[in-house]
Amino acid sequence: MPPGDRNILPGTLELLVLRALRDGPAHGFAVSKDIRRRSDGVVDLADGAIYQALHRLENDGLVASHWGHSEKGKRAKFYDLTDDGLARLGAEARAWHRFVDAVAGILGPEYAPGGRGTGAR
Amino acid sequence: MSARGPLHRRALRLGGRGRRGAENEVNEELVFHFEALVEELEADGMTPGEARDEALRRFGDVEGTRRALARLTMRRREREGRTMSLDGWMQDVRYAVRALRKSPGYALIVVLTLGLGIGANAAVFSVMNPYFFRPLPYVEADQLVQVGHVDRSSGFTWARFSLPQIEDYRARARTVDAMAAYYYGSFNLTGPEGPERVTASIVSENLFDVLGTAPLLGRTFAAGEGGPAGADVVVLDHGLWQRRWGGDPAVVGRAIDLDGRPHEVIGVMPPDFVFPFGSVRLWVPDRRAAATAPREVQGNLIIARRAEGVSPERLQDDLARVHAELAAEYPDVDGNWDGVHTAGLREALNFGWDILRAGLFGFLAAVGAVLLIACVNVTSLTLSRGQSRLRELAVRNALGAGRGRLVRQLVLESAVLAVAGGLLGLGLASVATSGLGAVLPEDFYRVGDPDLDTRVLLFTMAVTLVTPFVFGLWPARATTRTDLTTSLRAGGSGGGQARRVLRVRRALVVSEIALGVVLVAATGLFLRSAVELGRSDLGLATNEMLTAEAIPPASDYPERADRVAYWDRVTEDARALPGVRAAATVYPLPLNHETPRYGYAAPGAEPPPDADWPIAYTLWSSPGYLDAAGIDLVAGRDFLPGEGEEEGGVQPALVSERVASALWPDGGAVGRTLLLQTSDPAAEVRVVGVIEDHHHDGISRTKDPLVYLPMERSANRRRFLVVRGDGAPTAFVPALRTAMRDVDPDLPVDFRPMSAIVTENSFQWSVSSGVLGVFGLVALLLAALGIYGVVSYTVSQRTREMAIRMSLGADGGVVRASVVWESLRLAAIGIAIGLAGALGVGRVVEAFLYGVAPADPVVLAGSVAVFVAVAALAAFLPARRAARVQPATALRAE
Repeated sequence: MPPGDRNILPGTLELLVLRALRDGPAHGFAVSKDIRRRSDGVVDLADGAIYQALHRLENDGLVASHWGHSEKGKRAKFYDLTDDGLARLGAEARAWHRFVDAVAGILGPEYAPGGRGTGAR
Repeated sequence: MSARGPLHRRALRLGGRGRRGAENEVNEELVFHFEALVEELEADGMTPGEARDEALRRFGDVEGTRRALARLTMRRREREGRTMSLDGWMQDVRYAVRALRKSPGYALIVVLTLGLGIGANAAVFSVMNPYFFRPLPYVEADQLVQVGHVDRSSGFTWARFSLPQIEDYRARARTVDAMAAYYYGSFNLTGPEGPERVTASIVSENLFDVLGTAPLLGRTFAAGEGGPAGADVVVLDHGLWQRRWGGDPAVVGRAIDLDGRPHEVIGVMPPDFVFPFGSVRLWVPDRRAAATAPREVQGNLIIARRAEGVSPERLQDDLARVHAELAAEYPDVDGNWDGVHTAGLREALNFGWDILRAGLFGFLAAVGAVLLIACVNVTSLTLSRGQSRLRELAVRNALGAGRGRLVRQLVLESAVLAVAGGLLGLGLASVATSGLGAVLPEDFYRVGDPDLDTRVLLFTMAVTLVTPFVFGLWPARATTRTDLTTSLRAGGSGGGQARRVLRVRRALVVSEIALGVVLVAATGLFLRSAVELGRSDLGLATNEMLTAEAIPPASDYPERADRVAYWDRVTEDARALPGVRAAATVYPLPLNHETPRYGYAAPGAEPPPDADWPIAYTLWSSPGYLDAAGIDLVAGRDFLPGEGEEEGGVQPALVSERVASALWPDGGAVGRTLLLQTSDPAAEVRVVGVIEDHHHDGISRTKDPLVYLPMERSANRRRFLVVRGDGAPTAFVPALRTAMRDVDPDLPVDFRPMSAIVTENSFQWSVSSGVLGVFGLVALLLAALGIYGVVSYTVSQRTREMAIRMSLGADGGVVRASVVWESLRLAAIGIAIGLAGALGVGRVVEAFLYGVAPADPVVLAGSVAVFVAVAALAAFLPARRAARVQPATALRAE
């Protein structure tokens, strides 16, 4: 079984891929590296899943692709956010935060980051 | 940046088609991923094996992912295949516009050049449209033909028919649905709106049914309204109705006076209806009785509608058969004609069909040449722009755009410019042709005015869409043929390629000059014709003659004596006006192209019975006409008053020198008699005077043989009063009008100075030289630009060579001369080819020239001189630049 698919919530994979493309066109390798770097390695996604997400997003029109050359001059497939993709990123990010806030509210202050309920550090 | 062989090529095809193609594309994406990751992991210190294992671990299910990605890619491609092509085009157009914005100078020159070229074509086509292309305003007009008797001896094909003949054709023809007859003339239209002479057509009652056109208001003629028992009814033309009655619908049902006789207006035709030509303002039914009409009086033309499924050839054969039958039955009437002729209405109704067709298609050829020159210039510009874009193209090539795609992109840029040029051209054409409808003569059959319509739009669009392929395709292919990778590395314009392009640009300039020489020479020929015409002596005092035309109607002037009295009175009154030196009447008017021709011979020297007699133009004049027209007597005298009044006997005649010397080469014509075929057998007339040769029927290359008969012998009600006096002819109009109104206030009179009639006659040459002159000037300008472009490009390419030559001691003058010489060499080749073309064109237009040979040395030498001058001038600026090259700077820059 590939690692990673189970340790994030459904729908989150697409959100993370969209976020990785927000700063400009990137190939799949760069997207994978970007997610790994931003999460300090905590989110350990399978690269295969990232590529499938990119292709699904492309088929949905949220991402566009073109063939170009990498920094080292090799041919690579670059992905870029479409206007729809950018809008979806905003909407998904807001939904994610509403979800997080709601879960945090259920858990209560003692389970807030640094609270007693999270246990001793 | 490099493009590795097989991988590169495979990628250019975007991995190919279908499932395999999709798998290839996915593989390439994933190969890149693994190579990049492994390289990075090795850089972090892993061994190649560890790095590969780690990359595979991080990826997860490689095979499953690969299959999933291929499936997604396939699905995407299927969908894009449907929408992508349009999107791709739009994207390309946007890119083209962006690329053109970067070179606004180039874009502007191309759009202006093409706009001029396309505009000239659209303008000429809009003028041709109403004559040749716009549908006739009749139902199924292609089934309609006009029928005419053929007179082979004179080559005339539209001789007319008498009413009994028409009845016979109606009864015997088997291939005809219906037949209508018509002729035309004029009426004096009187009423509270003032007297006016209007051209009218007198038609069989079924004419409108045969044409199939419905009236705008009211109705057309009903059965029974023609013939002696018919009704005095009239159908109005839309233009007359608008002009005279302000478009008042209440005119229908009202009575109007035609030649003093009330006619009830029963209908008004729609604006686009025209029959049989534009200046016909109303239609009345023919009220004569066919049964009792004489068979010899043949004055009607026939319009026939072909029966369903009958070919034009069968109709022609059928009518020829009827004619053969009738010729056998009536050898003295029908037998005098050589046969019958049929033709479609567009051609048959247009008196000027041949000359209009030759002239307008000639203009179209000329503007076609102008557009070709424009395209040649633009080709040249596009080539040099392509050279300066090699680096950009190389980059796009490296980014995966194949040659086909680059060619498509470059041609698309050309197409964007062509469309802009086409729009500009359409605007120019609509400005150029606006208001032309009011100026063009109405008597040449046409449908409407030369406005922009769908046909003009389609023509312009077709021309516009062809041009980018003419001027853009070849440069695009030439530019992308270069090894783009090489040019990318070299960073400049490839040397060999530049030389090849320059060679082609030189060839283009040569062809441009050749076309220009042809156009300028053609212009010269027509210009000289117009000049010769103005200079030529017609033998008439055209600048001093005023003419006044009137037709005393039968209602007010029933007897010939009444009409004679009217004209005598008017002539007397005109002579009494201050400043008038001479006044007399004539029929027909000089240069009116309606002078009858009759055979003539000396008694006792008639040609054998079957042979044709020599032809003389015959006209009628009153005493004093020779003075009024400025015609000199060579021998004898003018007619005397009342000389022609006696019935019978030998009538007096005047003959021109040509006739006199043909009959009596030894002189002594006065007092002799000649035979004139005005009747059968030929009438005998006695020469009382010989007059100098002059033009009468029209302006032709030679002066016509002329015979004058006394005015009293003319049966025609129509006459022209000719007045000659001191000062401008038009100055006499007010006084003469008053004098003529005093005699008959209701008789409409048309005044025209003779000089205006001469101008109308030289229309063909003045318009031709004017229009061709504009085209020739444009061609000259474009050729100058072309030469300038090529020479300055050569100079910029040869800067280094010039610098070396100058540092070796050549002075500026020598360098300058060598650049100008180069331009003149190109011009010489173009001029040589152009001269050959000009000789050919001269021969083609020979029939339309006046007083100038098709290979006129002045015209040819002039055209050559103009282009030599243009070539030298166009090279002068670049030559000066070349001579100013600073050797040190130029060599350092390299």
